[in-house]
Amino acid sequence: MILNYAKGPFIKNVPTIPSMMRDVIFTLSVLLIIPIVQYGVRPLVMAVCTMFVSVICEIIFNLIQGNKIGAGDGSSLVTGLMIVMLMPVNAPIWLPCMAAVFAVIVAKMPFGAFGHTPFNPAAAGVAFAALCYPHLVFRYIDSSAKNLPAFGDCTGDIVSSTAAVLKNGLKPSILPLDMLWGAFEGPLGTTGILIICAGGLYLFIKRTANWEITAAFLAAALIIAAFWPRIECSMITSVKYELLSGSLLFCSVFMVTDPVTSPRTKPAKIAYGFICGVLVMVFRRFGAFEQGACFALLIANALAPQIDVIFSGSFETGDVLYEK
Amino acid sequence: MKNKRLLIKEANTIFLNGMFFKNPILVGALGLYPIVAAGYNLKNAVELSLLFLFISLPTSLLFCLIGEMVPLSVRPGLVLCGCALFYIPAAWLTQRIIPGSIESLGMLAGLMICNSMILSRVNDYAPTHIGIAVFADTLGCSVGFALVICLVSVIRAAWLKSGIWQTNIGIYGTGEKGISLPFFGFILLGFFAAFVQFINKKRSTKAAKRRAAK
Amino acid sequence: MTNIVGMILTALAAVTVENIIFSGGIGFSRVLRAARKPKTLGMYSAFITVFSVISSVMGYYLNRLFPESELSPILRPAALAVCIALVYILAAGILKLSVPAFYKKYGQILSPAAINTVVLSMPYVIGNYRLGLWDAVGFALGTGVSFFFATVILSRALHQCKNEDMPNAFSGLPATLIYIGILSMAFAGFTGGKIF
Repeated sequence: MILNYAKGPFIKNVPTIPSMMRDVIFTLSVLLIIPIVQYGVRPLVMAVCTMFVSVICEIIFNLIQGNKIGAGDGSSLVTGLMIVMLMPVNAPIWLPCMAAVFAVIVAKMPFGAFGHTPFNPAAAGVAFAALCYPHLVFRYIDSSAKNLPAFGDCTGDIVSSTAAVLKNGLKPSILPLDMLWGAFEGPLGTTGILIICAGGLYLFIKRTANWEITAAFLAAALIIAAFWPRIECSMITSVKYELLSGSLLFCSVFMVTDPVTSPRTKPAKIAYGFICGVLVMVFRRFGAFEQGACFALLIANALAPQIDVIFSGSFETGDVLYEK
Repeated sequence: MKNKRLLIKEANTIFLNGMFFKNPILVGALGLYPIVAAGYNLKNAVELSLLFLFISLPTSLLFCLIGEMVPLSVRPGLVLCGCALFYIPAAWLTQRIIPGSIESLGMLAGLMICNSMILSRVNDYAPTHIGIAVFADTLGCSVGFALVICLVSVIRAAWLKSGIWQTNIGIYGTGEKGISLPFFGFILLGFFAAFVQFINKKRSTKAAKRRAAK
Repeated sequence: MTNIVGMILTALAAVTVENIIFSGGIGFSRVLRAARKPKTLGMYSAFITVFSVISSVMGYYLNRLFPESELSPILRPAALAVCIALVYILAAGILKLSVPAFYKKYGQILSPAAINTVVLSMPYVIGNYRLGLWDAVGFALGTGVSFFFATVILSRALHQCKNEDMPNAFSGLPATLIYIGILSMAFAGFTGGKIF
């Protein structure tokens, strides 16, 4: 074997915002494959429409502001795609579009667009849709339904999701291990458990997402699920159901790790992930809806700057906040 | 005569400032609660606007007369007492104009006594200004409050598709009527505040250009 | 012991699922003003808590004095407000005479902390939830804690609501109002909307 001596400097490609957004879009797109195979083109139509609406909203806002419309960093596409992933496949097409309008026009652009948003726009959009139309957001068609109409209303048996069954204090009929294969009712992008895990690994390796936040988030959820189960079962069964149901795993990989809304320092990130995990479990137990990940994430986003201040050890960032 | 004309012009400016350009809700973030909590149908909006006018006007004029005689440390307490006392005839009058209004508003009616906009104008503005200025300011703030709450209510009622003028169904709607929740009121107020800020910025740019031209 | 446990649980509920500040939108004008003075956050919240407790205890007894009648929606709020005003005047007088240095430092936040919708809403909340005396005190304590959290969060948020990339029209108060709206939306996920 001949080893070629290469001359320095050895420069790695620095991640940029568009490259990070491309990684996330790629991972989310892979998540769409199973629903498309299962239900037909409807998931793809939902994704395309929502992403289109997100981009149009950003363009219109920029035009009103009198800003230049450049190539864009792709963040609106990510927002649109994430919103679709958290909606049921049988949701009317206007619902994720409406959530996308809210996400861009209310939660993103007024604060200065990407890089300045205090809240995750996708979480804000889904939370808005959940509060206004909970009967549409938390309503799932039977996973055995095939070839759903691309644009029209879906007719089929409506069943409770695993998260809803757990919320009612009952044990789901599906076995935890069977949930790994994705054939159960839930939001579009949250049932592909193995793909979410693979996608997460990809994002951690590419340094697009912080594994510390995800690890702390899942650790908190695990501890609460193990020691305060919502159903009568063993600790390990409770952990499996809690981690695999609803949007918890999806949130832990794609939303909690948002680099704009999460803290800057490493200890703060771990604390933030842990607090977010606790909040999600609190919302699952005491919240009004079967899934509270988006609501919990918004509260954690609000706490993130304070967590940063506490862990940076500096109480004098900008204004003096506390008297010594 | 010239002084009278000047006084009327000043009063006009004060009225317009209170109503729009320096609207205490959209510029000062005062008096938010009734708008976000009850501003989801026009009936609530009109009832609260009437209450606002009937409480703030007499209380402001009273403290315009006696405000400076009262020590600063005690004044806020007396202002609250004044608002509480004037609330009784205000609530009775509102009830006469729109029967059943006070019962349907519930705690929202009672909390108008400590509305931060009323307290701020009565405690801070009224004692240090002349009667006509206080009258114009209170009237302007009342109209401004009415405009904001009615606009917010019309938008929310139209989205809820429950009829713009409607009998109160309770302080908050059911879980499905998310638009009637306070959060949407705050968001609408944010956009209205942005509009007022935009207009004010344009006005100050115009005024600066005019001064530079002179 | 049962009373104390009930009080703690009610206080926890006041911070989370029955949060009248975040979910109900009560008192945000005061929260914003307190957030602009970060050095006095702690004392401001302490005053709010004390006056909320006093208001809730007063409301508990006053609600019994005013039986349900045609005139009670008109007379009861006025009576409650007058009582709170008298409590404030008494508190201001006692502090001014007994600890003048303390009053000089914190006197300017005493009146806004005593006279606001958070404090005056306590009797109504107790009436709506039909809380006992201990639970009422717990709820007032929890609301004071909520107020503190709200001001701490907003004091940081005020920096985020002003940057050069943001549209000029939204800089400052408009963005802050939208921020509060989104945070209120998050807490609405606890209650599903209904509070009372």
